[in-house]
Amino acid sequence: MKKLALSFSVIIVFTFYTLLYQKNGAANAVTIAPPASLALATPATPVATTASSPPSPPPPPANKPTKAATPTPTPAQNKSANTTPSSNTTPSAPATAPTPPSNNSPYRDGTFTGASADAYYGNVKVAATIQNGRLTDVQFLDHPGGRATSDYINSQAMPYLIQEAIQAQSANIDGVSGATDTSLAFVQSLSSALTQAKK
Amino acid sequence: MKDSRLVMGMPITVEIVDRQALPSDIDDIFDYFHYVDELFSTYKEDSEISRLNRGELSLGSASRDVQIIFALAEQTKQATQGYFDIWHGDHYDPSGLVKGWAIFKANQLLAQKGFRNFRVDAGGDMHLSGANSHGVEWRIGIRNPLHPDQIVKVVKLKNCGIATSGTYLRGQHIYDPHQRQKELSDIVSLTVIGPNVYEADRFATAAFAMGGEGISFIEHLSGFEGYQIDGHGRATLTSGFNNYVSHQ
Repeated sequence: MKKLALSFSVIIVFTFYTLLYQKNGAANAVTIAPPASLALATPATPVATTASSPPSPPPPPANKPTKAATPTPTPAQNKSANTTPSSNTTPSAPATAPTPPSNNSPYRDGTFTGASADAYYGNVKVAATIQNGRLTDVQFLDHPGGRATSDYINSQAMPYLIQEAIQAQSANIDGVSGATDTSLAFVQSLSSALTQAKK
Repeated sequence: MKDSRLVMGMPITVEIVDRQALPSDIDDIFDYFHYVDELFSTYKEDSEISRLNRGELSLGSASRDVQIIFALAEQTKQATQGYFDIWHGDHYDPSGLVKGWAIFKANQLLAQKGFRNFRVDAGGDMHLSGANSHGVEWRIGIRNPLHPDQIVKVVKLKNCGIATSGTYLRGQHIYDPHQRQKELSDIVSLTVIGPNVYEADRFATAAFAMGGEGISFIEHLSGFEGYQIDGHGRATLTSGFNNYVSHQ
């Protein structure tokens, strides 16, 4: 009787093991790209993903956006607490005392802080340094990446993401999508700094 | 028929493929963008948003469109775990939401006029309706943030929106908090394709603010695809992005 029970339990355990193994095998086959931790470590080698990826993407996991719940400060919160709406039109005072003009340049010497200009997702603020009437340096005092030190890339596996090196394309297109906002804000902030430097 | 003008401090392009289009149809769309600018520009002293910020106008007595934007902003803040916030410490600035919303509304205006095939593009964010002038899907390039005169990808789009958040500035260094000396890649550009330009724009803005995690936020968002570029010229794609890519 003992022998019978033992052999039955062995059969049952074996059956379970076989089922479980098949399930795991199937799950592994769907994983198409290396986890992010691995992918990040490899430098920009194009991954041949088009061939191996399924025609339609796997449905996103059930535990949807809650994943990125790490409370990091938003750019909106920690950017420019001292920036008022009027600062877009009212430039702040020069950071260093301007020296008397020494030549026929339209600008006084000194360092001038531009108004904070909105780049839609964050502010851009520059300081322009004028020496001998010429613009010698532009420093970024605030830009949308200012909060970045508190940020990090989640090392948790992201098996769906694909990596590749970017490559310039030549093709007929109807339009271009790209960020132009920051460069515009840069021009706005710099021109405001230069306005202050005007004699 | 196609025209580009500078409104709200950025180039706006309206292109209507349908033959019955008149110059006045294009004018109507630019008039609409000017109307939106009058309401929401933080650079205009007498805009409703400036008056709200000075306390001269209450939200209850603001115009309907302003109330809609504030409601959408609250909804978006919740949908992005607070990464999207129009409250900037001491004033409201909803321009990050207004842009995509205005393009989407302009798009609806053209549809109401009976057009089928058109494109509205404001500063690189756009909505694509129907087909382009060759009768096929719109072909949109993604700009290389490291070399703005290049495009690095061409996507084929129809009845959907595309928006890019990004920066051409370097020096956005991100360090691994667990290994301080190890600097991770800085994200310079994130392009999002979504069911419409309003959705694509707001999620591109919020996901860009999340840094390296932004692309997985988009991956987990049903109906959206994303293309992220870091400062080393490496791109990370969501799993379905390649379905849009043109290989010719």
